[in-house]
Amino acid sequence: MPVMKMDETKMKEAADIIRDAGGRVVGRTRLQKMAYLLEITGLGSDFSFEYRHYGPFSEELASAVEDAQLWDLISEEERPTTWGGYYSLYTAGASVAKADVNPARKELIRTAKGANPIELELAATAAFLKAVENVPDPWEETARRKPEKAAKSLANAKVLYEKLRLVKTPKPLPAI
Amino acid sequence: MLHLELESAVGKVPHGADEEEAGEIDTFVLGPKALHAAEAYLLGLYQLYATVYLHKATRGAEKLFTELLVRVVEFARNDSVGKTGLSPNQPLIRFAKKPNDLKCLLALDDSVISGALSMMAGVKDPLISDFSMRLRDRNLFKCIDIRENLNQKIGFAGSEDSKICDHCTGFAKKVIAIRNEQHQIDALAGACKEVEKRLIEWQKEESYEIPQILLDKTDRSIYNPSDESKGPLEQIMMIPSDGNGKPVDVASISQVIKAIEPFQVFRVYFDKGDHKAKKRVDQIIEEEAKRCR
Repeated sequence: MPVMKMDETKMKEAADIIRDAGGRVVGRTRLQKMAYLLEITGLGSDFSFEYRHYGPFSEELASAVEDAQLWDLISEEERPTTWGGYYSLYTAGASVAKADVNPARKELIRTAKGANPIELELAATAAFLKAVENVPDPWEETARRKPEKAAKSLANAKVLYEKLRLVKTPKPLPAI
Repeated sequence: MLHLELESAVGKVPHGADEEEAGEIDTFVLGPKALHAAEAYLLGLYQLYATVYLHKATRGAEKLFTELLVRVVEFARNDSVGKTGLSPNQPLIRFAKKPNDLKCLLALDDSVISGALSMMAGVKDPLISDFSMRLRDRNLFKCIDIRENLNQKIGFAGSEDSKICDHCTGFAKKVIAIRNEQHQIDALAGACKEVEKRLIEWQKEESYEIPQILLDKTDRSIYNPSDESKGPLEQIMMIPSDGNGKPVDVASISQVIKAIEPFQVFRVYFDKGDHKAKKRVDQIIEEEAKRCR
């Protein structure tokens, strides 16, 4: 199979995340962390993740999102932030919403969508450190790797993580 | 580079995730005297992408090699090493089986790869055999620059109300020229997207053991693309001579850097003897260009 062939299933799954979030997701970081939380709770689509600068990151998901734009499954608009950076606004293309979306998936996505992206990044990072790297104290390690963000947002990230853990997912988020 | 090092300092720049700011962080910034050195560095880097890294021959070889490597790795992982023409101990096979083993990665170098090409040439699998021979003999696929072709074919005459007339004021002329330029950019982007979709669809209909065409689409801005949020940490920040000491993006104070548009590539590669593929590619380009005119 030639490499140029796009993975249609992955494209649709990437678009499904945005569609299940009400058709709009603000931010690449938010989308990546949202997908990671779905993945480790058994509600994902088999996207593989590795550790990058912003915590768990899936190259597969990033490619799927890019490919999906060619077929108008997703549109991405880049906007300037007030702090001098840029963020992406993702919108799902016109597709019929699935009626049978797992309620836990919906709830997890809803919570992640409404979360502060820095707190979400820290929470997803701690989860990754526990689940993949088996770090004894993931919060301490998260603070060590992201000192500036942790100084401002680690306490809230812990609150967010507990809120996420309350969602009855097929696989519970690891206790930290 | 030495000049850049001498003129660099540590400054505070904002960082964050998505729309949210996380505060300021210490990073290397350039002093005001380094402006011309920064311009020279970025222009040089940009030139390298246009003339070396993204050159059509370089990319053409990379495309063939990527396809070849994917097939070899598939066979290696499916216990079909014999179909690759390589021995189980060949470094490429060891790497395919243990990609996270640093020793396996370090064992790969130019000589290992070029030596493997002759071993893979002539095996039964048509893709491995053909692509390894092409790489070994420098018999690369022919390239058509789709973006460049479309750009030339589309042109832009402008609608009646977008033509610059004799009695237009200077300001009106500028507005119309900007609008026309944007229209051409949008038309080109739309045409490229449609051509890409049609070529992919066409490939799905065909069932060759070797891909008939290989698409190459990429772009390079002056700054590295970012996986996630992007901001000052991904830019070259400089303290301007007439500012308040706060670092700013060098592109915001240099007309030269500001003017550098991303280098965009959209090409298709195919066997130069494959007249059917060439005819189909030409036809799709022509039809999509016509739609935009």
